[in-house]
Amino acid sequence: MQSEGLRAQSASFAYTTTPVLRSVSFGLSRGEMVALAGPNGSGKTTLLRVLSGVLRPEQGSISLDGTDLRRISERDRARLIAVVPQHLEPHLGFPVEAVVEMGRSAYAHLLRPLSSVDRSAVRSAMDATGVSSFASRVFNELSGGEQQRVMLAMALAQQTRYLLLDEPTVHLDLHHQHSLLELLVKLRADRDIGVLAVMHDLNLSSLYFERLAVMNRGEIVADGKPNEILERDDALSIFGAPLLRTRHPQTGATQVVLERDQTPELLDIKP
Amino acid sequence: MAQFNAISRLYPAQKLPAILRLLPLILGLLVAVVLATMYGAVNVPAGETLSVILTKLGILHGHTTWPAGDEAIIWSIRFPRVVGVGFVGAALALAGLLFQAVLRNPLADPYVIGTAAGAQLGVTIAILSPVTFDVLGFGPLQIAAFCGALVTVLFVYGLARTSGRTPVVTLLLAGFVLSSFLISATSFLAEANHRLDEMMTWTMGGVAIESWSQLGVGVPIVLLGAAAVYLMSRHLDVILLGEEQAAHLGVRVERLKLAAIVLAALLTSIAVTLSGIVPFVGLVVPHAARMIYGPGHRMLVPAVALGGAGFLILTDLVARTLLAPTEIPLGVMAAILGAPFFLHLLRRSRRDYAI
Repeated sequence: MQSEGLRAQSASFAYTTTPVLRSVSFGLSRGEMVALAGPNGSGKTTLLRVLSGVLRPEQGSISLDGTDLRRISERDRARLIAVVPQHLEPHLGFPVEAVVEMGRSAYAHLLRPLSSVDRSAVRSAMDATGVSSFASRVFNELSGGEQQRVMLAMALAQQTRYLLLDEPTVHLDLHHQHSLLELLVKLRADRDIGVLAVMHDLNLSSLYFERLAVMNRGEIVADGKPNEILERDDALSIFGAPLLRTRHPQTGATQVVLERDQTPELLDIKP
Repeated sequence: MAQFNAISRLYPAQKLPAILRLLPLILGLLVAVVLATMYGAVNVPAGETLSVILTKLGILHGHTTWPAGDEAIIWSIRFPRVVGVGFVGAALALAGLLFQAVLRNPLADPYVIGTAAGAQLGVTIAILSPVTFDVLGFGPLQIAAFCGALVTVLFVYGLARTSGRTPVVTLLLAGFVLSSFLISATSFLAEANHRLDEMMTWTMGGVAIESWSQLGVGVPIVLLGAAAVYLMSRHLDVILLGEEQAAHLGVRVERLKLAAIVLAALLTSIAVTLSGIVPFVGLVVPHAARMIYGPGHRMLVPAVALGGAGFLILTDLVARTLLAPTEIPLGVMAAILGAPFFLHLLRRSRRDYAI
């Protein structure tokens, strides 16, 4: 059904006079895992912000399971869409557990303590992201990767239908990249969550995501199976870098690597 | 107290229930009230002071065993002043807490960002204008102070805000410049009307509480204001994550900010009409409370209100008695006592400053 999912209908947006989104139509369904790629400044984060409801498109509209997003209150929206930002305010003196508990803001009573339902949502979000082991450490004393996992835990505690992530793997080491992406795959399957992640890493996108959308200059220029898109020269040329294709040794997924400018002989670094 | 569980582990002495953790502040405030009422030009013994206050409040019923003169000093002169100063302290500390949270700026307080100076100019205009009426201490003075405070804070905030943030430096510069301008404009107005001396005392925080009737409107407003801040406390925590993330979590950010700024301007203007400009309370008390209680607002709001009241009552006691019969302006004394206390806390605190 067309009205299901989180959808942008010809959405346009400009921060100043230069349009950042040009009549973008895009849909994310429940249980779907989509990577959003594109060069810097192509409008990926803006599309994420428009879909999340914190930015209103100047033209076009956003609908959530058939309802115009503007007609959904902030509180209800926070129970349906969660966002994992790139970073939070740097000077945040709250302990990790308190930050994750803020994920329950849209459920909590203004004065009363969190309910047992809230508590268990917080606990399972912390366990799933592996932040329980440093639950009482202060947020601003954590490493970038630890902070990213805490932000993911906060979003999971919201228990939403849709999860939007802005470059979630960027501060993570290989171990945590692996566990984060496996976790997203599992969440999609277990909870039927629709996942949309801005990804710079095309190889992770093709390895873990079933759909890849490529943006350029405020428009979506390619949208489909990662393997097919990465085989298209026009889609790769957008990134403005010389790229070579290869295959993932285990799954056969298309992978791309940078090509060096010099001839192979000059690259030989043998003594 | 779910959220405090995590904070309790971080601030080890904080495993007790909230009311017990606040107990030292509550007792401290009560002691401060008694001390400040006992001492002055005439010293009255503690027992007698307490008896007068409790009898007058209707808590104690017994024979009057004290001279009528003492009763007049305690109940009609000193106690209203102590209560008034306490509410001024609580109002300024709460205003500082609100500004620091919604501007996400550790250096925001009613004095620094010019709100107090705006209220002061409003008061000066009201005093010089021929319009007068007074209902339980509420009149043109209070209205003008509120308008002055609100216009100033909205102006400074608008000036300092660039692309969704209020950078520290811009906010401080805008606040400092506007504050200086408003203070000079106040002096200019006063001088032009040959009332500069009177105004100068007040600029430095001269307490102008002489009777109960002046507190009729201010006290309920501060009490209601404190309750309103407490209701906002969960959202004040969330907005520290940043405005956009707060919106993702379901907070109506613009509405929260507007409510906080109007409330802070209201609290500041009440304080200014009662005691002129008192610096430092709005800055020092919230930071001191954070160092002890952590960043959660449900603990900070009561702590800051009690602490602000106690701090300013003791400051006023010192200001009245140190060089008696000369009275040191409250604002001067607040800075002299507040600065070293703050530096001590800053040094003792092991953590990097975090809001």
